[in-house]
Amino acid sequence: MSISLDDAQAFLAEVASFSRDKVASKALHPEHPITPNDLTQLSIEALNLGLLPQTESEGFALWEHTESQGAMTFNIGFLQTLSEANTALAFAWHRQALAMTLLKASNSKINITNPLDISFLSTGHYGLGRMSFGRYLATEQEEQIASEDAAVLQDWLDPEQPSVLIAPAEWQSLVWPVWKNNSVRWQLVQREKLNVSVQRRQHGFDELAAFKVCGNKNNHRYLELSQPPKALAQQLLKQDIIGLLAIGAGSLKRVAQQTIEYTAIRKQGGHTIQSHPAVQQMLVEIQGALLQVENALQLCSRPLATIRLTDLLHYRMQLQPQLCHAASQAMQAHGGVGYMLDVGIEKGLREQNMLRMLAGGLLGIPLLLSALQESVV
Amino acid sequence: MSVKLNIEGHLPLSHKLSPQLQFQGLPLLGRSLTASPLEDLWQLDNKRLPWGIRSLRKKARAFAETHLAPLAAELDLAEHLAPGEMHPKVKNVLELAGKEGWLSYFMPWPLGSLPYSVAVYPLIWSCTVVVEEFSRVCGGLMLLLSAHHLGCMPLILSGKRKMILGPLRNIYRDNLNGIPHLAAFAITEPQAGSDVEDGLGASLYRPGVVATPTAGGYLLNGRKTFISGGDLAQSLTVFAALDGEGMDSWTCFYVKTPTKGFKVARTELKMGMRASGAAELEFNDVFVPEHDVVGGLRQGWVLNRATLNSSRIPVASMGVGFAVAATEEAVQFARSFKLGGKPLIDYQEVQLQLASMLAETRAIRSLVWQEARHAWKPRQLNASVCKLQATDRAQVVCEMAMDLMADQGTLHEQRIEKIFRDLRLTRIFEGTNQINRLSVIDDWQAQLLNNNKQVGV
Repeated sequence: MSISLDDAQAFLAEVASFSRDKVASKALHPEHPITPNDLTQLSIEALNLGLLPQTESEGFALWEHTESQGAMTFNIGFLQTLSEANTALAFAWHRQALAMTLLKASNSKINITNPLDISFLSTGHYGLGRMSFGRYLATEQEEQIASEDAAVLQDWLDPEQPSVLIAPAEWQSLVWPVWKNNSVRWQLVQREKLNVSVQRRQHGFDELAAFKVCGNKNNHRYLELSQPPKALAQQLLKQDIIGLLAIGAGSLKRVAQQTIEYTAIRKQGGHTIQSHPAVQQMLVEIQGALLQVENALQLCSRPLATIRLTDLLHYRMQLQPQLCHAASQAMQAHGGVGYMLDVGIEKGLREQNMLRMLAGGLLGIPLLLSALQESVV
Repeated sequence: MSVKLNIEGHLPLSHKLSPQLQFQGLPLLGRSLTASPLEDLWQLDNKRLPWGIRSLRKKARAFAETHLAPLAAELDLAEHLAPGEMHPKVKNVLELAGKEGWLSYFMPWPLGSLPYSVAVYPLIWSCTVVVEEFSRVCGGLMLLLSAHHLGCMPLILSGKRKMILGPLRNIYRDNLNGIPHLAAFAITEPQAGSDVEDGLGASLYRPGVVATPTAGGYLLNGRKTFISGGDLAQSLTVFAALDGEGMDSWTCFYVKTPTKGFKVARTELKMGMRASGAAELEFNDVFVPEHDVVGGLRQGWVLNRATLNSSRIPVASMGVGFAVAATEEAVQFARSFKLGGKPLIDYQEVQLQLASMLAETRAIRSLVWQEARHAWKPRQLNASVCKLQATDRAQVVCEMAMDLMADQGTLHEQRIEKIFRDLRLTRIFEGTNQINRLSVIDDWQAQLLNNNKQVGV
C-alpha cells in the first residue's frame, strides 16, 4: 500500500479538522495544559480514526509509511498541523508512532487501547554517541566496529544509565535502543520492570511529564526485526529528526501568527508596533526561520530512503537554533505581555528549547556528521 | 582515592612542558610578571575590587547561598498565590534580608545600611555586585529584593529632605527592624510598555493614570500593570499625569498601602522569576496628600529616566549573574556526568563550549564593572549599552549550557531551564533591548549631530 499525494492531502485535511476542532479547542488557555484525561480521550479518538498506528491492522497512520512522496508529505504535514494546535501532543504521538512502527516491524501484536501507553527513546543517555555512532553507521559491515567505539556505544546505550524520558504521565511501556553484539538493537520494556523516577518538572511540553528511566537489559526481550540494525538505526534517527523539525515548524507557525496579529494592533509611539523597524526586523527573522524550516521539510517530502542522514543532521543543527531565536524574537516583539503564561508565546519558546535539547541535543551533531563524511549516508 | 592529574588533551601541571608551576622558578623579575599558581576566578576578581566592595560581594554571596539558594526551586514550583498573599518562606527571607541590610543599602547609616567603606564608591557599583550574586542563585528572589530599590529610587533622586527623612527612612527602618516593608516602582500602563521608557513614544502617548487636584492633594485614577513586587509593596512610587495634561506633566506620587481606592487587581502568571510577583494595580480615587508628591509637580518624567539610568546597569548585572550560574551549572555537569567511562569535561567539544561560555560571561562582567565603577552619575547611553549587551549575551551563554546538557538540561533539577526562564525577562523589562538600543542613540545625539567633530566611540 502506498499513499499518493492526493491521498495525503485528503488525510491531512482530516488531521487539520481534528487538530482545529478537537485539539485546539482544548488548548485555548496556554496557562492550563490539556489534562491527562483529555489527552487520553484525544489519543483514543485519533486511534479510532486511524490517525495513529496499531500493530494489528494496516492503514495510513502517522509514520506507518515512509516509502513515497505522499506518505512523507502526510507524516510531516500531520506533525506540523497537530503541533500548531498543541506541540506536546504532537511530540507524544510522534514518539508513540515511532515505537509502533518498530513493534509492527517485529510482528509484535499489542492490543493498544490508549496510544499514550507507549513511548519511545531515539538516543542513548547523553548526546549522540560522539564520533563512535557515526563511525558505526558509516561502516558497511554489520557488527564491525573499533573497540574504542564499541566502548562508547556500549555506555551510550547502556540501559543501566538513567535516560531522560519526556512522555505522557501514564506511559506503560517504552521502546528504546540498546547496544548488543556490536550493534544497535531495540527493546520493548514495561514500566513496572524499570527503575522510573518521576521528575518534578521539565522546561516545556507542559502536557507531558519528565522521568529518568533505567533498568537491566537482560530483563527485557529484544524486538526481532528483519531490517539490518544499522539501516534501521539510521531510519529511526532520520524519522526522529524530521519529526522534531516538523513539530518545531508547527509550534513556530502558531507563535508567528499570534505575533503578526499582536503587532498589528498594539500601539507604541503613536503607531502600531509593526510599523517600527525594530519590530519589522524581528517579524522578518521569524518569517525567515519559518520559511527555512518549511523549505527543509519540503525537501524531506520524498521517500525516506532517498533522504541522506547527513542532510538531516545539517538541517537540525542549523535550523533548530533559528527556531529558538525566532520564538525568542516573538516574545521580544510582545514585550512584557509575551512573558506571561496566559498569552502562550513563552510556551512556544520553551517548546523550541525542548526540541533543541531532546534527542541528544545539538552539540554532538558536528562529531556525528564528521564521522559520517567518509560514507555519505 | 586517586586524584586526576589532568583533563584529557592537556598536560598535567607537573609536566615540564606545562608552564604554570614552573613560572615560580623564574628569577624575581620573571616571577613578578607571570601568574603562578593560578587562582580561582571568583577569588581573583575579589582581589581586583576595593576592600569595601569586595567585602560586600562576599557578604552577598554568603547570604545568597545560605538563605536564597535553598528556596529557589521550591518557590519556583510553588502554587500561584492570590494577590496580597505571601509564601511563608518569602516572608522569612524578607525579614532576614531586611535585618541584614539588603533592603536598605542604597543609603549609609544612620538612614540605611550601606557600609561607609562602600559609600565612597558609586552606589551602582555596590548594587551590581550584590545583584549578580543574588541572580546567580535565584532570579525570582533576586527580583523580590531588587525591585524594592527601584521603588525607593525616586525618593532618593528627588533629593528632597522630606522624602528621604520621611518615607525612605521609614521603609529602611522597618526593614532593618525585621519588618518587611517593600517599595515598588509603578510606571507601566496597560497601553504603554515602551512608551513610558522612551521620550518620543511618551510624547505621543495619552497617559492612563491621571492625578486630579483635590483639597489637600490629588486623586489618582487608572491602572498600572506588570509592577514587580507591586503585590506585596507597602510603599509605591506611582507616576501619573496631571488631569488634562500630557506625559510632560508626569508626576511621581508616594502612595502608602493599604489605602482607600487602591487594589491589587491581579498578579501575573510568569514564565520565570516566580518568587517575585508582577502585579496589576488599580487606583480608584486614591488620595495622595500634597506633601507626598515626590520631587515636585511635572518632575516625574525626569525622575523616571534618572531611575532607569540607575537601574539598567544593575539589570545588566542580572545578566552576568545568570551567565555565571549557567556556566557553573555546565561546569558541574561536565565534571560529574560521564560518557564512555570518562567525564564529559575530558571531551574537546565540551571544553570548547565551556571556554566560550566563560569568555562570554567574563566579557559582560568586565563591561558591567567597567561602567559601574564610574557610575557616580549614570549616563543613559552607558547604562543601556550595558543592559542590552549583558542580557542578550547571557541568553546565549544559557543556550550554550542547554546544548551541552542536551536531554538532561530539560529537567528542572538541572537548574539551567529555570535560569533560562528567569533571565529571559531581563531582555524585556527596564525597556526592551530594542528600546535600549534606541536609548543609546537618543543619548548620543549631541555628538552624532555635530558634523564638525569625529565621534568618539
